[in-house]
Amino acid sequence: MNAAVMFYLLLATVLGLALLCVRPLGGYIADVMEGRPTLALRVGGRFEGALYRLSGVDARREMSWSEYAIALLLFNLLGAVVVYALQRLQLHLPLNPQQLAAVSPDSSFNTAVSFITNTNWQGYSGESTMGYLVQMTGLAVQNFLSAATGIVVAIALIRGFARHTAQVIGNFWVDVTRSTLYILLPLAAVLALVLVSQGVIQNFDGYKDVTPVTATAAVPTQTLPMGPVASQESIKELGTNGGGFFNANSAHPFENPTPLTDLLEIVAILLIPFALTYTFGKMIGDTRQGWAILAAMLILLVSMILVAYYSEQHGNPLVARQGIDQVASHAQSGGNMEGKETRFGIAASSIFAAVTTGTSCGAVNTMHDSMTPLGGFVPLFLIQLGELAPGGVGTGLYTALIFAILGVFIAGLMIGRTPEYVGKKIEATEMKLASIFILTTPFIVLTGTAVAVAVAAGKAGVANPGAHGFSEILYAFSSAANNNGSAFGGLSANTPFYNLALGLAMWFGRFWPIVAALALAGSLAAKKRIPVGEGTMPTHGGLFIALLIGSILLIGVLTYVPALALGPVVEHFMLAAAR
Amino acid sequence: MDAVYLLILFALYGLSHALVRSLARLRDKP
Repeated sequence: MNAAVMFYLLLATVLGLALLCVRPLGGYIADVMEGRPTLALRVGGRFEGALYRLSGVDARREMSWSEYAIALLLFNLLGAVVVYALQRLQLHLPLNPQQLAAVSPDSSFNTAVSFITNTNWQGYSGESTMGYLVQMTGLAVQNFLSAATGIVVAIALIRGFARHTAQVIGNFWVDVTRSTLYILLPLAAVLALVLVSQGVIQNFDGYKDVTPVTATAAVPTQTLPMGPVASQESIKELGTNGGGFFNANSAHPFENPTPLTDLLEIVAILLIPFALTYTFGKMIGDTRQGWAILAAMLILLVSMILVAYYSEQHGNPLVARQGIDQVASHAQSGGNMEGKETRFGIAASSIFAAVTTGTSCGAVNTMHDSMTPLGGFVPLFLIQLGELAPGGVGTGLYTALIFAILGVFIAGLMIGRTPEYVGKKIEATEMKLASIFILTTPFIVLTGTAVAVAVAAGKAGVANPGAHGFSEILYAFSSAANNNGSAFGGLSANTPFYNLALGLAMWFGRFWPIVAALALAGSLAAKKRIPVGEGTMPTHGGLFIALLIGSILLIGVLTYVPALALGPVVEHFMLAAAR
Repeated sequence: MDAVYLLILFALYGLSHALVRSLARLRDKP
């Protein structure tokens, strides 16, 4: 079968499986977050109630947006302190069979901020740095809680649209408990079991010294790292976290052994971000609105997948000029296989690279640093667009909704009507908050990159000088500020400079837009609902979808084209000119 | 150094808390 046909089949399978789950999962999430008596709430209700009694939470009392935001910030600060402490104390803690030493203070800080912000940027190598207890109770726990944080912010913003003349947007403690107990935990448990059945390891064994097939006198044995991998792998993908147990992430055969696990991991990444669009529609009483958002996300994602695939399958022109065959055939994958796993090939690697950066996952089954310039441009640009194709769990939806607000504002300016979106007037306060949301992240990316390329400590981490080195730094700050966590691997980022700089980027890039989004939720919830009239612009048709995509591209292009021109764009032209 | 990084974490929280207060005042303006 032709390679392109196989690519399209794989893409259709991935999208088909994820889209099949949109309505049932999205509807279930809406029911759970609105407290309807679903089977899950009936089964887990007593345990949930006990948790609230133990912690002194009044589940019936809802919060204003500012109370909600402060509760969220405190919750995440506590998480960061715990993860920091676990890393610094790990030599004295159990489940550390390799007796790995305490993680350095700067790396501990970076990792703590990284995991609470759902970024999962890993400046360290998991198998040589983290003991099993830290991986499980620190990192995997934050994988659940950071994903829950993203979901609840999206739900709060949806409530802002759904409610009218209301001063409250929900109870943070109830929301985060329900999203963890009834959404993330069950899905992660099922996926973990499936992964184990396919060969993903799950044990507390010490690392094993084995005799490889290619043993030599000089290298008679190889040390294979072990660990409770499957339980972390499942929430890594489902919660769009991305932090791997091992350094090679989903390229490692113990994390992602087969093409089937690769397919399941890609679907898992897309599952909740896709489903939340239906949750939005259901909660506001008009599912067409959710489908419109999903359509815009799909158009962006699929376009970029195609660019990545064709760039990688086309391969390196310099290699072709040497007379080396790069054409796909039954005997070879063809194209640019550098940094890729042969069990995945070009198609699965390209799809994974686009999906992981179109969401905020950041897991990798291929080394993005080894992609062609245009191929590598795809993950970078998807991150810089704001990660809303379809975005991370929660973050993708609330980012898309805020861009929708921007879009209807632009449309309102054009036609001279007060902009409105799903029955809410968009006025000066909403636009100020939307602007703060949209502009915070690019400010962090560009400022951080500018500082890093100007100071010696920033330049010291670059392994590939020139345009590619610039791309590595730009990618690092884009990934951190947008809470993706993937990297162009050539940058040596486990230094005090990058650990601090990227840590700051991750914190501000995560929580400042969240605060703006919650403020927006509060502002919208307090407004009256405007009934649909003759002059109301429909926000569920093709025109709105085009407007939304246009708004997203306009901001992304205006903000990042100058920086991209210095990185992947010039690298592409240099490669074409064979310099 | 632990104290320094923990202080940075608390400072980050403090700045974010200040943003909440600032945006709450933004909303209250007529």
